[in-house]
Amino acid sequence: MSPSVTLILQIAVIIAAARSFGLLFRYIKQPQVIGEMVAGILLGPSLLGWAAPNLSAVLFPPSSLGYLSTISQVGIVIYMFLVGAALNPDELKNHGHAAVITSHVSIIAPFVLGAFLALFLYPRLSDDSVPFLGFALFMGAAMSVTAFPVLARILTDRNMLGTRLGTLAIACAAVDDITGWCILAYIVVLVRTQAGSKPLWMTIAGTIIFGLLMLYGVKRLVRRFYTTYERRGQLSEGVIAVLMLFVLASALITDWLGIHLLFGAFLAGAIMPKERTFVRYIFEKFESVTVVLLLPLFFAFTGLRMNLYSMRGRGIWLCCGAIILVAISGKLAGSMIAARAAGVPWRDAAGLGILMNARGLMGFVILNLGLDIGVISPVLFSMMVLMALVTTFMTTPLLEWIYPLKLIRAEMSEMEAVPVA
Amino acid sequence: MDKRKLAVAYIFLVGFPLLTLVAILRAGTHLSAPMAVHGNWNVQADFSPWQGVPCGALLNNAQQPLLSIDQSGSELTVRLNDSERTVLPGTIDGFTLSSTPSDGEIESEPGPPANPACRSSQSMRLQAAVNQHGKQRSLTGTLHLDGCASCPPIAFTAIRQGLPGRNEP
Repeated sequence: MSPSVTLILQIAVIIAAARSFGLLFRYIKQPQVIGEMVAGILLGPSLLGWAAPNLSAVLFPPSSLGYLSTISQVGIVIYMFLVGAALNPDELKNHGHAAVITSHVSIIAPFVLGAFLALFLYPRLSDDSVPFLGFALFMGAAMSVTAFPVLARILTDRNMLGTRLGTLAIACAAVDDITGWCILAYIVVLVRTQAGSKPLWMTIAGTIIFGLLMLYGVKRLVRRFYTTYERRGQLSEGVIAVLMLFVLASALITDWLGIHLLFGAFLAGAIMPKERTFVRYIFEKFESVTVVLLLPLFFAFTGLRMNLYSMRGRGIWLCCGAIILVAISGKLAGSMIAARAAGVPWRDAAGLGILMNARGLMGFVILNLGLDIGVISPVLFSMMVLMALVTTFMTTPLLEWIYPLKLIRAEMSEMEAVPVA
Repeated sequence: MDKRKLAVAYIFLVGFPLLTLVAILRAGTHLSAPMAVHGNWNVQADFSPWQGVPCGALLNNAQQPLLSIDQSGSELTVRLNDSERTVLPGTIDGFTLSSTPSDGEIESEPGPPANPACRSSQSMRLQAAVNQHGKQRSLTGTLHLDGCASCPPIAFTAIRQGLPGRNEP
């Protein structure tokens, strides 16, 4: 088969599997994206490669995976732009001190537990090409990330976006993700500088200058996208092309600086105007192709890198269990205790902990990045992907248990009744 | 909640864990991890003594980098870039790398076997020492063909290609 035929066949199989599993997961009341993530994993060596090795070899020959990797990277660059565009840390201000303390604890608690676990995992699952500092910080960052897009999807599906809990969770997740990506940028600098790709001072100085330029210079310029949209009610194809070029240029600059394409794309999104109608319009323009076509490719690429059969032996599975336990106790319990300490009622605090515990797609993105830069090994990658899946999968049923739909309806009708009174 | 109580809660829930994090990071600097040998290796060896035997024949058309190693701590997966993409599980202990075929047979990548006789009758094994020259590492060792009485061990040296990356699935 020619490379292009192989690639098209791969894309067709991946989309079919992603949509089928997405529908199946919707049927069991899980967000569709979790089904798509599971489909990606099952197309890899963990199921297809094991059950039908010959078919797997024909469908996903090693020589063809470079193309799949490149296309999925493009998808993730656009997706990170959308994640950045959706984030609005200003929402934190509306929730006062409770949100500040909760969001900070929901980062630091899993981070510390992740770093503590690194003391145990480093001699067993790492090697001397990775400094302990980078390994421990990465484990902390991977544990403390929240699946902002999945969280928003769960809240929307359950009609919880307008509730106290919903708005608090969105605000905290936004702060978590921004902090998590800043820490991750530092880790990438740390690891890549050790590998000698660029002098440390150049990367740090360049990143700071670029960040400041984006926040205080380019941010004003990109506001013109909004004024154009406001004036015409839409953006012309030419303007969309300029917007796309801006995202790609930002991604390329951060990669050239020695961090990663994804940081530039995320930053480009983060400085976009935050007016809701505009953000929704941007999503409508970019989301379909990204969600339907490109993200499933990324899930499949992640699945091809994950191999459950590489997790051999009881010790490895014990490590995996410890990772999942630490991830849940750090994020879920940490957020819940912090929210309770800040005066949030127990039920809301527990709901917040459950929501913040979902790592989902953002977990996949960070873990792939960790594997790319060599800070985690393939076996640890498989364990962490499993952790991200488990923590995301448990969100909806736990939330249903703690925060049943009848309670949401009651709260929503109470909120609607207030202005009338 | 009044501001004083909130400040106390903040110090307890954020400040204290931050100090703990600093202590963990300091404690971890004393830890050591196994030597890194993952990546692709160019191998120099003369495989002519193995010509004509099933497993040895696999190496006739082998291409560089001949060795590709995945590593998780001390556990290794060694892949030979031969016609069957032979996979050998292994370990690294200090400066010594050794691989053994699992269950006495050669595992291979998915796909039809290039030489089925090799899987049933013979098995390959690798032993090597890791040499450190500044930042560069090399391997010196021998490749054994168990189940073939007339096949002598083949000595080899290997040099790693560039800096190791783990971005290939």
